[in-house]
Amino acid sequence: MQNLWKDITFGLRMLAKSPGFTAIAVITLALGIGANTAIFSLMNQVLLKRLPVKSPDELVILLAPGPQTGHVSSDGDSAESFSYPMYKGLRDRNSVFSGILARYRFEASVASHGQTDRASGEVVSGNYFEVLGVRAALGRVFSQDDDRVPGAQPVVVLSHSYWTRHFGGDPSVLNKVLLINNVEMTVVGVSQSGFTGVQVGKIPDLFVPMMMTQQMTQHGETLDKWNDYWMTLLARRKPGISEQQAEAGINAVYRPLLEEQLPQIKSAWNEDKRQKFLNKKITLSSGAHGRTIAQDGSGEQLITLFVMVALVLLIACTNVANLLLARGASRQREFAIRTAMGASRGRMIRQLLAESLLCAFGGGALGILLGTWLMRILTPIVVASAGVQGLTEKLDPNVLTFAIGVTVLCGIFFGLIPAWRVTRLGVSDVIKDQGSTASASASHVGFRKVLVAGQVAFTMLLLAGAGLFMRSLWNLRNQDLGLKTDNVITFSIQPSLNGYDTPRSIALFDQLRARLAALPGVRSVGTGDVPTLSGDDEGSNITVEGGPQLAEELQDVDHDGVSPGYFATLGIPLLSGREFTEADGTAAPKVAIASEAMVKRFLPGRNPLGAHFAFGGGKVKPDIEIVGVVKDVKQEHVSSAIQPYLYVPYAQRPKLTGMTFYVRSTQDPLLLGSTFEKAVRELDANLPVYDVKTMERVVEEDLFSARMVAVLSASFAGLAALLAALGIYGVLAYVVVQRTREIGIRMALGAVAGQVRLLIVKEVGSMVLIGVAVGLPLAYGLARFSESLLYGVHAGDPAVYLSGLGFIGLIALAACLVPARRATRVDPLVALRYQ
Amino acid sequence: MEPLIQMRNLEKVYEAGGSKFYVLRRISLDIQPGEFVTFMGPSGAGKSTLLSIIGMLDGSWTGEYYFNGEPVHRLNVKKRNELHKANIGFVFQSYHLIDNLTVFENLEIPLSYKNVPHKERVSLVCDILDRFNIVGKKDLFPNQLSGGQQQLVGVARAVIQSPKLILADEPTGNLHSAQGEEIMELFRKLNEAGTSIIQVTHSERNAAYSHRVIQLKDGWVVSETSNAARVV
Ligand SMILES: Nc1ncnc2c1ncn2[C@@H]1O[C@H](COP(=O)(O)OP(=O)(O)OP(=O)(O)O)[C@@H](O)[C@H]1O
Ligand SMILES: [Mg+2]
Repeated sequence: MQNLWKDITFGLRMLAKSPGFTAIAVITLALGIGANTAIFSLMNQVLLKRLPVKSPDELVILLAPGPQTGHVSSDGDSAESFSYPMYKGLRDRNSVFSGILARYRFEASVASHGQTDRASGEVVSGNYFEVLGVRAALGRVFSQDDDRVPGAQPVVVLSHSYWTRHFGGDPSVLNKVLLINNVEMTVVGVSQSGFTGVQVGKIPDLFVPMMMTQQMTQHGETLDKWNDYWMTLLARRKPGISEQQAEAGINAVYRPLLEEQLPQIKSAWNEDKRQKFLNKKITLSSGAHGRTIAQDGSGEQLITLFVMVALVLLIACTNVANLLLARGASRQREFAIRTAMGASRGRMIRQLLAESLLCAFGGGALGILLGTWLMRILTPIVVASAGVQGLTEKLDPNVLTFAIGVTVLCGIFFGLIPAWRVTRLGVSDVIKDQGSTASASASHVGFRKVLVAGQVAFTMLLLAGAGLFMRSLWNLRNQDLGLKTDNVITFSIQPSLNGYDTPRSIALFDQLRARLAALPGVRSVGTGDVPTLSGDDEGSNITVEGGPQLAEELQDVDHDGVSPGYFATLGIPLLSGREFTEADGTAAPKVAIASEAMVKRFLPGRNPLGAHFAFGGGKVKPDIEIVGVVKDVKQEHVSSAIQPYLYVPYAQRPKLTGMTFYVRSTQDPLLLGSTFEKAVRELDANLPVYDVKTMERVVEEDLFSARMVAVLSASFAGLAALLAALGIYGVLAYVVVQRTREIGIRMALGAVAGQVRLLIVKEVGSMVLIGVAVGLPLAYGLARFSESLLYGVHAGDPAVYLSGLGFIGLIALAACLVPARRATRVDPLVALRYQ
Repeated sequence: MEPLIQMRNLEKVYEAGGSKFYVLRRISLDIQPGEFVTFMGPSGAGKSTLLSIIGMLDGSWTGEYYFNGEPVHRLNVKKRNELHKANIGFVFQSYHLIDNLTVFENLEIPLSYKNVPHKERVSLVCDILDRFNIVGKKDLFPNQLSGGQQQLVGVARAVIQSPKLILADEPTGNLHSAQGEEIMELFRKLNEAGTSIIQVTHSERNAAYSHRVIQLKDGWVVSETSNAARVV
């Protein structure tokens, strides 16, 4: 203890004696640790944090991959979707789970204190809270009793955060009646604080018993149909039941249930497909972290970014180790004398470690500050733009543990190696070697060069990664979307949530369009019931009269119900035929407009105008006539491939729930301000208007994650390059000092400035070449891992690697500029004088 | 015949903290081609300084200095370097071989700076190794040689480019007398073969090898004596 204290105080004194070294070491580490803390914090919240419920490790998510038929609704992997009868069967017959819960998200329109707002709701099974072990903060949560009668459970449990946000945490909300999706619902409770549902990044505001599904959801989800896949299931394993046992147990009851379902399947399946269906197996995946949002690629993104930022830290540590080595070499005399006076090697290593740990803690503390600051910037961006809710910028204990752990590891890593090497020499070596410690430090230089080569390798990796991601972003930005985004503003309404049926909705949309078109500054108005570039799609297979025989997966076409003026408003060129007009109403002959890709696949070599098709397969009558062809448009994402697409007049849609409006204005569309919100309010004061944004912003949001990855990886690469340059510079500066005598001799023997400079450049060259040779394959490996994040550029794109190489060359040259100049300024007189 | 070295009123001053410190005072010297000259004098007299000026490693002085008829005082750095590279070889007291190069590679250095093609370089180095009887040592590193052997390599390196003039600053200072004698014999042979030599030494025995001894003190030339009793 006494010794430790002495080590610490002496260490502090040594650090204070060389403030320049200390400052550089601490700042370098702070940058590395700060960036890591911030990225880890995001990763922790999205991928690693366990659900804040009772024993989350016992939870599993059920998946049933294999054939499905009928209506499938899913927000990710459709294998996660189950029907209610299947759920009931699994729940009641299995003996391996203490409970299986079911849940499904829906959009809610909530009217309370004279105002209508949108909220996100979840229909849940009666045992939902019980299985999760979540209690009520106020009133009660649901129980099996809420599972009894369809349509007769008009009760709602509010989430704690919604309650505090919208009701100011007022307990008198209990037994209040809210109008949710046009149904009067009584608030019976508020869920436990801190509980955010079972889906990372999507936090429900309110919970409604599953019996109310028909009343709450929009897409006709049912409680009695086997072929209606929609709810996702989480189960809690009984104590002592392993995951394998649970899987075996649940599949034992699954097979008979599939046999029960088979007669319900009306599709023309052959025997093979039926066997495949009966052989479906349920697989379990861990539910400890809830349903992750990794399905949409966020997971890969975060892991990729985390690998990159960890490398930055490694480079930072290497720099500090390098600095310590240089310092250690100059202190070798001190250590020799200490040894002569009886200090053991372990004692000296401890002394040096104390110093590096002190540096590490300085860097760590500063890094945590920096990390918090970075999180404060990053978190709101991720929340706002990626739609990931519930991220907090606060440091949670996990992150703090991580940061401290990283700090200690850094301290040991960058301290131990130099300490080990510096204290390795015997006394006689140093004392005998009188004036210069040439041979001793020569080996250090070799080792330091290895460290720098490592830095170059990692920098290469980061540069290549950043290059690929920036190329992807550039490609995405320069995509031809097929539509014109300038001067267009969009918003959505969903009158079905307020009890509108389809004919009333159509009337409302017609009226609203007319009103908007009459507003000053509005050039044209168009609408579509599938919002463009927001990741939504609606598709079905089609039957084209006289069309080619296509494989099953090619028969599917996405479609949109649009208004007259839709194409003109979005600037989508009409190639032939006509746009829809007001005459294409509900009762008029059914018409459609096809995209180029649709024509190419379904009507090859034919005149598409006048061709007929129908939605669905089998014996449907093709009664929809194609009256126009438009250019292809990116519908789902900027990054999606062009797919066949069909447009029909929205008035001819069998069912309409919501509508997205596009308004093209004569000037900056934001100048229109809230005029159209007013127009909506004039028609129905209770209709919330949502997702108001310019089309340019829609595109930006769609590119958000690509942009985030590109910007962050570029920053990391830049930081890495800077640190590597520092590392190269440090070693070279040292090499020049160490080789002063040699340079002097060479100059006395006739070397000119250029030749001396070449000596230094050669030093860099070897480090860079080795670094690059190691770094290139590593870079390719990381690129392959994150290939799904790339767009229009493949993992081995030579241009990216070449520019990475070029950049490293530049860095290296920049780093050797000063040392090389210093080398040419060596005065042979001085270098050789003291013989 | 034109003198190899001609100096007129050469002066060198160090300025430190405002005060001037004269290291060389009004040096005027003539050294003929083929001459073997010794500079002697107490420590701090300015011998090494004068040698490095002659060797054109030091360019900050005043006065006139002609080398082989070329006015060194009027040449720019580049020209001076060329002159030095082409005509002068150095031998140092502490050898100044490069530690991480072999004997062979050390010998190659001056040639590489004169852009001698590789093939010719190898043959020159082999010749010199042969002449100096150190063929067996060519792949050793300096720290694997004795002091005398290192200085042998040092002299070989100075000679390899056949300079007009060899400058040696206490070349035997770190050697035993027997080794020192070997080096001095070498100098004598080189001189007889036509190379001019200027050496700095504290040893009368070494001075005896030269034609002329020039005494310096406090930067002044205090005496010049021709050496009748030369070791032959
Ligand atoms: N860079 C310098 N700044 C100031 N004075 C210097 C510098 N270099 C040399 N001197 C001085 O110049 C004088 C001559 O030095 P020089 O090395 O030429 O002496 P020397 O005759 O070779 O002595 P020695 O026999 O000890 O080698 C000395 O007094 C020395 O202190
Ligand atoms: Mg001297």
